[in-house]
Amino acid sequence: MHTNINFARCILACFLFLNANHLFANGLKNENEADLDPVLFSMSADRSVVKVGEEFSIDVHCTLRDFSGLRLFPVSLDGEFVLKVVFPEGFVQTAGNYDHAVPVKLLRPGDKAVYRLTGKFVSRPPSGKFMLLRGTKHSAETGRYLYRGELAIAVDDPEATEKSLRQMAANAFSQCLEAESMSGANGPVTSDPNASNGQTRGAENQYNHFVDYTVNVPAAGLYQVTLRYYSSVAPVVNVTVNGGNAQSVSLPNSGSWNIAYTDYTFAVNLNAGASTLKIAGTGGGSCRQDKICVTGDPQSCTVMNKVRLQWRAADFNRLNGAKIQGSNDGNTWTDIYTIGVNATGSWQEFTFPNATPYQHVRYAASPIGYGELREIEFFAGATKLSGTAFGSDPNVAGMGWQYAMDGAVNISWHGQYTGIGAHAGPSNFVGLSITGCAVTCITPTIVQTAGTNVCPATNQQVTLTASGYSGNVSWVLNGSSAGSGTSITTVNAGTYTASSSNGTCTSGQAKTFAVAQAANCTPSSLVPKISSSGFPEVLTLSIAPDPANPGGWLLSDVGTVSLPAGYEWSYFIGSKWMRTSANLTNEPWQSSVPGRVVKMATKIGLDTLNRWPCPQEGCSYYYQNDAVAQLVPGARGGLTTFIFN
Amino acid sequence: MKKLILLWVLLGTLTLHAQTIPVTFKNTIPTGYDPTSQAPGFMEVSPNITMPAGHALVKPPTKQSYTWAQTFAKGGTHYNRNELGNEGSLATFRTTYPDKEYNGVPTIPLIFGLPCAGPEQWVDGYNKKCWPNGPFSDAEARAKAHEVWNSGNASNLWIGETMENFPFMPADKPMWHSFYDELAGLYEAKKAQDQKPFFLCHNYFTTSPYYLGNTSKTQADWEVMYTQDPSQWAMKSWFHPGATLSRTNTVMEGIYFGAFDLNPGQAMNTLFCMELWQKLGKYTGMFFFNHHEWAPESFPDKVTFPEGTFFRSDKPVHDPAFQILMGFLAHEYGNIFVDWGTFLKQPASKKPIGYYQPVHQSMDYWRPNAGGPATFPYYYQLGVGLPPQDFYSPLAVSSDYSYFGNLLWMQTGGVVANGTPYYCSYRLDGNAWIDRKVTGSDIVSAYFTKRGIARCRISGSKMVLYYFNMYADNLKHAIEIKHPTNPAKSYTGTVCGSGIHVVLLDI
Repeated sequence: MHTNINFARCILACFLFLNANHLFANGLKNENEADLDPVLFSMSADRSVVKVGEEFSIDVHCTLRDFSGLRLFPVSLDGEFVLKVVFPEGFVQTAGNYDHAVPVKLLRPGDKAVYRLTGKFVSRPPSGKFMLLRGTKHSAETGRYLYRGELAIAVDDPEATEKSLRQMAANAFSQCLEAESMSGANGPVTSDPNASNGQTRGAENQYNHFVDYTVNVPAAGLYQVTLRYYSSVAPVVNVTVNGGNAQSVSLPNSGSWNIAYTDYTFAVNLNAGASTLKIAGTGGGSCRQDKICVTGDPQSCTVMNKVRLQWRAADFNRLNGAKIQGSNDGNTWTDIYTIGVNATGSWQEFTFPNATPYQHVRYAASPIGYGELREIEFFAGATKLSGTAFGSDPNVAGMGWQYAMDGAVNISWHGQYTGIGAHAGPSNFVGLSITGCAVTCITPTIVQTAGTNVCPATNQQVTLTASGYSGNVSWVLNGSSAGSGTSITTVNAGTYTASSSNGTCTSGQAKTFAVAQAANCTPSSLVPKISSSGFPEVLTLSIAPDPANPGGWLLSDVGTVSLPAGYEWSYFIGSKWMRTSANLTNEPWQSSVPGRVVKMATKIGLDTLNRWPCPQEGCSYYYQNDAVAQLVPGARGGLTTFIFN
Repeated sequence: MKKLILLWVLLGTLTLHAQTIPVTFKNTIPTGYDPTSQAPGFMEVSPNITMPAGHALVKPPTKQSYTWAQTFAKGGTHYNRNELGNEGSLATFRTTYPDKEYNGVPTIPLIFGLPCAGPEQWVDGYNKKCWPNGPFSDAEARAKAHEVWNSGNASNLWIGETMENFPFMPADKPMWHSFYDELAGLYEAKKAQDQKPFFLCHNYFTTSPYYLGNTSKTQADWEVMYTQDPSQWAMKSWFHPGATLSRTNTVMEGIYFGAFDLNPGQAMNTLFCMELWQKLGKYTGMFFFNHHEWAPESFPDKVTFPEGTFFRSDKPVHDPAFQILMGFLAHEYGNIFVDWGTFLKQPASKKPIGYYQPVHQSMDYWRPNAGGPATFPYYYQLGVGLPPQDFYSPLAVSSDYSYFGNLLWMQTGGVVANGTPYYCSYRLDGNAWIDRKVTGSDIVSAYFTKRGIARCRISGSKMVLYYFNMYADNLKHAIEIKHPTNPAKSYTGTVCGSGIHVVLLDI
């Protein structure tokens, strides 16, 4: 159980707070008495708002409490502990007696220790939140700490340009949508006095209700979605944007189906313009949705308008006709500029008009080019752009596209120009997914890099390689997952596609690639293969093609063991229980699915096999000595499993 | 007349827009797999693949030469810390694969460090041999949680062995609530920091009042649970809010099935319980034993050698179709599949075969070929203190099949793992439609009418569609399955047998 304690109050819009979670025992009412940690922790700062570069201090206070009031003092938490303050991004410590994992030992009740952390932000962080953790003396080995609160410092950035401030103002976004007003939904509209607009969507005990929210944002980026809902059991919902980028969100239980709602915030990547944000219950408790509020301050993408490149030492004419392109979905590319000159072998700079910001930019070779750059750089004005590089495959061994983006001109990139996978033209490309801007993953292109066609019977293989993607690649064959990784080697003919993802985005599906079966390849017909079997005299299974049902089989038993008097054969063929006085003969098995046949001699008319020879302790319950006959030593039955492959 | 014309037009329109799409269900056995080798083969025939986030698969490798990395590359998510093999120490594993550790069903003495040195004396449901002072007090139980946590043994996949044998402490004792309340708090604090999911499960199997075979209950008694909040259920479980195990977040179903004729009902009851645990807000999954827990020393299995044939008489192995089906359904009705009973070191030569006195003394039978040795020549005596060595265990291939079920799910259901599940209306051979239940109680209905289940899961433009029938005959049937939200669309195919029929579709 947790409780939150605020240690400071909000000061105007910029606030400072310390939120401490303390574990406390079940059933005790006094929070202090119930707190299991004998040490009280708090943090305070000498100012609540700082500028980038401005030094400030945070004090961490630790006080050993009076043990006598504690009924539930745990042996593992005592006055000996280590402290750890998790810094926000952009913060550096400059002074103070605090050190990471500082060891502390408080011996007597009332003993105090104060550790000062002095430092500054060198850049404006996404959040100025400091998190306080406490560990035991074992934490260094286990790496586990207990959360003991946090402190948020508001950070101003005096060096932000007027332009970026304007941009921020323009990008600050908030939109709230009522669940009951959305046309795409499958739950009933119900009333609640506390609900926003007085109404909600979703029925109790129907966890699989959904609401499609139509959101419309001004710029692509990461947005925060706050869902207001009611639940009596913790729900699990699936969140998708336009059917993709699915994420499962486990919502905390609001604790009540009505009156008392809960707000829960999660992040989604949205493209500029209208999108359908689906929130659908998938498990746990039902989720009665009230509304969502979408907020965000996504960074705008910069406008790329210059490239600088150096060509290799030959074939200068192949630069002429190369294109500079941009994309906002990682799939569709727009020409920004076409290079109209030959290369020189030295640095060349091309500036061009462009007003459109793109998440991804790339260089695509001319129709006769193979890449062949020693280096390329992309610019927005005088600012060199940075990001995640990507490029095409296959390339000449030791001349990958990475050499065009490695900051050095000693080795050039060169696309494959001979043999399987050779490709001239714009299929040779290299580019950047721009940091702080790209929210989509780049759709891979599938290229065949080994083999020509396939034949499972002879293990004749083809290798497919994903080219020009960002993230991790997943492969699909005929609609089913076929593996992951940059390349896939396969003996299976069919239609392949691939996509990439990096944990925050998933690309579109690559253009399909058909792998053909070799003309002389005889399809391997399915044949039965015995997976396990027992004493042959008890059960020997014959599996023969069924002439009346192509693709089907006939099962027969040629075991020789005799049937004891008073018993009948019980065969379990799959789930079918068949009782007979004769061996199994031509029993239909009308497909090539795996299976099992079991044979036992059971007392004639036995109602259930849930009877078994009595143990030494005697007969009772389901023990019945004569239910099943012992056929031979070691076998009360025969069992054969089989597959077809 | 106008009405007739209107009706005719409407019928024509409906006919025009109705869409029947033929589908071919996926082969459940990977290309190239050959069980006649009698050595495990799932590693060789399966593509590298990743289990979707939030789902867990514990699959120990079956040859010493396989690495941890290879197991994870096949979709494994957690690794039994007691079966690390010779690749490295537990410390090395933890450093290399943080938070991929599975605790391997520790017993009560292991969890709490109990010496269990006293005399056997059962009192109030527990044994004073391990519990001389009775159950832990609230404070003791909470302190134990911290001890466990600080020992580093609280892995992200925690499944206990706490409900059997002499250290047993009944699950309804209040100490369990105290222990799990404290332990769950520590897990939750860690999750708040690293965002990694954890599964905290009291025991590898569950006992509960939810048993469809209870003759004092009716079908309606169970179906009504689908229309109620769990707080309204007539029978509460240990996992209900406030109960002793309520602070655990996972309930595992042990697949330890008995006599053959009971299996379809047991399997359906498993799925029923998994649905209930999810309604209670718990994670759930299957702890799968590849053999029946029934009829020991009754069904010999053959291993062939040039010198003769070796048989070991054991409990019956499951039907491969059932193993594949359950590997698949574990993730459709839950999140976790733990393979239990798979063996680690399996030489392709099948030599030597592990032998343990007195367990195997009465189980083994050797039938030499002409001129072969009178006794089996390739035994490896198992026991404490002996040098480690690869050895073979008969029926080694059996666990390939439950893996194939998991693989099948990753290739199909896993693609839409976060999608919305629906039961579907269907019919066989053009007979009457079997309509999906508006309350979602299709499993209960199927149990009582001994029929199959058609279900799907939709995410965006993709849908996994599947059918299974635990009670099936072995004949071909034409099936037609309605799209759950678009009644004008249906899918047709052929089904046969009690295994899984599944296909991933673009819709």
